Amino acid sequence: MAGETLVSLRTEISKRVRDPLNTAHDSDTVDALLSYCQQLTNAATSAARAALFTGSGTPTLPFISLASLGIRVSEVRIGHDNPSSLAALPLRRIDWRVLAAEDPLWLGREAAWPTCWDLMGQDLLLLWPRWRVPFTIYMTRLNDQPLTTTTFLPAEHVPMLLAMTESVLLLRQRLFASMPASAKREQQIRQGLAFP
Amino acid sequence: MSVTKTIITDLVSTLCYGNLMGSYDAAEVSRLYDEVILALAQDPRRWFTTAAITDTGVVDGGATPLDYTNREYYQLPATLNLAKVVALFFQGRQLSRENEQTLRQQNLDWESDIGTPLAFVTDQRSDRFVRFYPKNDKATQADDDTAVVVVYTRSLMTTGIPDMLALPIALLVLAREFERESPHRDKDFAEACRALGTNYLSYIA
Repeated sequence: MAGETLVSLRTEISKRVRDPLNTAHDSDTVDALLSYCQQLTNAATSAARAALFTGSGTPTLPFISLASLGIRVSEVRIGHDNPSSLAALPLRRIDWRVLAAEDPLWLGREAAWPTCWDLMGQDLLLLWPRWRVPFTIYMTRLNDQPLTTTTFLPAEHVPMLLAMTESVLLLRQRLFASMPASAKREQQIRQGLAFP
Repeated sequence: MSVTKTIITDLVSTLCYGNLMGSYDAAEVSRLYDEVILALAQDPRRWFTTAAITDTGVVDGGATPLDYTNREYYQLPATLNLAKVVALFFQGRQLSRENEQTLRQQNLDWESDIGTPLAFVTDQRSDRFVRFYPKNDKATQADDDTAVVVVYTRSLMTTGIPDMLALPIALLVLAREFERESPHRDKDFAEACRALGTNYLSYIA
């Protein structure tokens, strides 16, 4: 289902909720909900990967805020030249509490490039030590384009997107009796995917 | 990449259908949105984490020289919209989080100890009020604008909400709106919204 068009996704989802003529849920609503569910699916499955951030100079603090970027990180690699270079090195994930236990002054430590990463809470990426040389890091990111003519999801993630959107539309229509079946399907698809 | 409070409250309206459409209270939804954001910021998963370097805000006076020796609780700036402290650094050193009871068990006279701060405690009511232990032995920090670095979760977020959170937040707002006492109360709908919203949050946490 790679390259699935928005129209075909909408048609499929409308059939599933027994609303083929889009009378209960107009096309714009279905499209919007598909788009929101796509963001969730991408985040939950690490569906899209891309170079995201280029470090430059020495930052005051070794943090990158993820909130406004709308991303979820499961892996960080570091490279210096070609964004698609396979030579980019994976950084080790080390719990920041371990750094703190080893060295209370860890926050201010510096090196040429960071050697490890962690998340502080959900939205603050720590790259440690604080770096002195510009670099590029690669990590999972959400598709930053709205769902339009083609999906950006790998084919195996499309069923998840459809199942989630179906659940939301059933909720919207107050068809609570049908929701457990759709939730179960969602759960089964989720278990079959590489969800963290 | 990110959405605003307005977009999420519009989504709340979109998710209402049939006899629910137009029945919700927009002003109440705005208030409940703030409640949900605060609840997420206080959640152990620590949504909306950020960091700030702060110094002038540590004193509640502002214009007077910073006095770190005589104060009890310091007030972190209200402009941070701080919900929970994740980590606190004083002059580059990470302070461990303690509670008053533990410190008192270790040393009955802990409040009088003076030296380089190694730990902090927060006021029971709010993490905005912090107390260093031991009390700093230097009277002023006026020439050091990096005295305090705080990593914390934010409340009152109206912009910069990650796209992926829009749907779960809207569902949790709906759950609160339709479970509260009102003419349009709908427990079944509220329950379903809460279940779906909580489930979707767990996918990405």
